[in-house]
Amino acid sequence: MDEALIAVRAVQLASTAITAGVLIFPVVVAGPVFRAAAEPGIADVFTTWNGRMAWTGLALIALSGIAWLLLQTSAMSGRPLGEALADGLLWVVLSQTQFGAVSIVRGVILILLVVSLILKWTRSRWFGAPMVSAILVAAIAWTGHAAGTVGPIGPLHLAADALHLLAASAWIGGLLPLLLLLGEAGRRNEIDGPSIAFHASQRFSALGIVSVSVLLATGLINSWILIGSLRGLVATDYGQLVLLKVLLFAAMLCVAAVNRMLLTPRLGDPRGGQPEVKTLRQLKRNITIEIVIGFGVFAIVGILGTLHPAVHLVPA
Amino acid sequence: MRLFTLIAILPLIVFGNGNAAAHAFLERASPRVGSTVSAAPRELTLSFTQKLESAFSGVMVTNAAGQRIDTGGARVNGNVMSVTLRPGGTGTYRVNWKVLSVDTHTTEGNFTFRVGQ
Repeated sequence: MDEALIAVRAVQLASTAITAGVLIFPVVVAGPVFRAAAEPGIADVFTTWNGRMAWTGLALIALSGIAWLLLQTSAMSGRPLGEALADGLLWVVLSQTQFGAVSIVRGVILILLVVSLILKWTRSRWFGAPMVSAILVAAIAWTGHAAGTVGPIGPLHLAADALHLLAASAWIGGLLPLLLLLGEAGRRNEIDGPSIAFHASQRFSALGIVSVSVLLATGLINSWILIGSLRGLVATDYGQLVLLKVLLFAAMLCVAAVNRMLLTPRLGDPRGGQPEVKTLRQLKRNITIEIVIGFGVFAIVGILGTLHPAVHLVPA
Repeated sequence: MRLFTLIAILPLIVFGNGNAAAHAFLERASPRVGSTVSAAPRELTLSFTQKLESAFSGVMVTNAAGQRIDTGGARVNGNVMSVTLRPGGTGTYRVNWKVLSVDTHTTEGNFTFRVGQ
């Protein structure tokens, strides 16, 4: 049961984060780049495929969300799922626990997101699908350890956790549409092709820097609250998992640094009249590596959610 | 694909047993864990490290004769759970608690305390 819960949490987190990243990317990166380049062809193809990624994400959010609710009902009551449902415990969870309440709220937000996508409130409009998807991400904080933190530090923890989730979504989630965009740009031989790739990479780098800064700051706050000591960090399963997560984060940073400082400038090199095919391929490969590592991070977070925070395990 | 599988599965293999010390959850109890009190307490108060959900949280107190002396309805306020006790005489009392925290963790534990000498 533990493994199922871990998997379902990881999928819920990953699909929510990626959907938000996919919807935020056009607002922050693709929209401005397309407008500056005045290239309708690539914008249409990108928008179509980006939309498909969003819808796939939504389907995964819905499926994993329902599975999470069911598995959690069984786990909370300590009864097998069939028994728990037959005894009406699902309603008890929904009406009498914070997790249940948050699930209802997120369900409503999800429906809102579907509506906003159908009505095409996307593209460059912040106050539409991008904003709703961001709220759906932030709400996850209320299902995790931050929700149980006692005392005046509770709200601080929740705020830090919500921001942490948002920053991760914008960055890791944004990697997929970036890959999509670079792929499309590479397929075009027109003059605007490489310049779109260059400007998109540049803009995404800026987004990445903001995201990384927020991740660092909020990550430190969360760690201080949930781990609280060096001993907690190294002597508990929980702490060691967080160390692994930080390691993966550092790996992503290294790859991102290579992309920003080495490969992206080559794309913008005015000497190259032809599209920089090799550089683009390296960039796409690196981004794929980042995405894979990012999935590893989501898997770790899925596990962390089921463990007791180290701060509760290590004697003061 | 292999690299992806390795990165994604490795944490699950190494850490996926979800093994955590259950006893660490209870922070404070009144009467105190393992203590001796002179008179039978009228209330038991348990303080935990995280906020609790009243649904799926409960406690059972039995006296030396094995009779259940808690009045059944445990009250939850934030991270504190309390229950009223009937008079139970002297001897070793046993407390069995099981709580659900707001972050969806279930923990259980037990301890004893003495009433009288």
